[in-house]
Amino acid sequence: MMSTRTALVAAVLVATTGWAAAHGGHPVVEGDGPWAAFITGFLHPLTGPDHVIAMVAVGLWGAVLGAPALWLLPVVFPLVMALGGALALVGLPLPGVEIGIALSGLALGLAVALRWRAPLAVAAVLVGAFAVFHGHAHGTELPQAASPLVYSLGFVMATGLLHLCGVAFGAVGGTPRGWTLVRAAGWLIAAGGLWFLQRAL
Amino acid sequence: MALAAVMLLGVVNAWAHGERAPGNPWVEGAKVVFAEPACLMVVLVLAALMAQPGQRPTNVTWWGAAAGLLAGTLAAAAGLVLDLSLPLLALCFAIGMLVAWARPLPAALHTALAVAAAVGVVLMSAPALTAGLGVRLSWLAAAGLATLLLFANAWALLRALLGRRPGHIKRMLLRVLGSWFAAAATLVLVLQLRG
Repeated sequence: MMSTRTALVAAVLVATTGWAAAHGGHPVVEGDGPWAAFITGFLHPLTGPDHVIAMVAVGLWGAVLGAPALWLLPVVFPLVMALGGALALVGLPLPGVEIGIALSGLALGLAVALRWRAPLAVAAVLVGAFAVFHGHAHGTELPQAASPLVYSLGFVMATGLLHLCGVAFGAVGGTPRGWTLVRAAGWLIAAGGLWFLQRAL
Repeated sequence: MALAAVMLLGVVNAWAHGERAPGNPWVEGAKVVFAEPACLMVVLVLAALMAQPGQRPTNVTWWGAAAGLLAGTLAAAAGLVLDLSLPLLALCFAIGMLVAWARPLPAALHTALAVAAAVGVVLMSAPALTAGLGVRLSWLAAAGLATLLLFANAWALLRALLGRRPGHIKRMLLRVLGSWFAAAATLVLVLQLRG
């Protein structure tokens, strides 16, 4: 019962981010204070549907794999994403960022849909590799932020909350019908990733 | 929940008013810890570390934090002006990683981190040197008290929010929280080092 309620909350949150994403572009909140920077950073991952599906897939895959991947993947992702952002900040170009982001949705969606029980190290390395692309995309916009620390905290928090939405949605996986739902979500994410991939190519 | 609301109002109010404006030194000093993101983050991530299951901060840790605040206040009142944004960010990164690591730490390390954070936050909160000694002391005392209250409230709030959940869930949520702080600090460290 509890897991169903949690999953419903997660589904509403994910639907909300989808609604925000459908309204296009990354919004910039007017103002030069830290509050505006925080909201702008927070909205950045939520308003990029290619980011949203990959973030949710990270949490879902963690739920498929169970502990310790359940917490390890949402911990690895922001830390490696910060390294990706650092690459952008020091001016190191990363070819195919958009392709990498789209591939992350496709690959992670397939991992969920096929219930791929990858070894923990493989899962962590795969998620970390994709995180570099997401971090690079966020990092290029960091220097323009009014308060970079608060901006980065905002987008890291939004990213982490999307992971937790995935984890919460994965909580329905305790029953056969629940697993069908989780796998269906994986197929949807993979389809979204494929669509973004053909656009990036 | 009421404490959380007060803390959130403090942050919103301080962020909305932006720069350190001249005014009542008690009010302005108390607002600095909320207005400086590096100070706010280091206090919050330290509270997360202390709230992590398995960590056993002793009375020495709390006294260490208070002594650090006092030492920082005296140094700043004596005219020591340092830009500690980089060391505070590095400290935030280190503590965030320790929260994500979630292994029990020796009390001596807790105390050392609390002292370093307290000294750094108060020195970062110092008003302009042009202010008189009385104004500086009032400002710094308010900043120190606000830091201590924020730390204690954040720690108590985290413990209350996570209190009834099983240990492994608490540990997981705090691990994720710690990684957020470490990631944000990494990005801004690189940005500042890049110049």
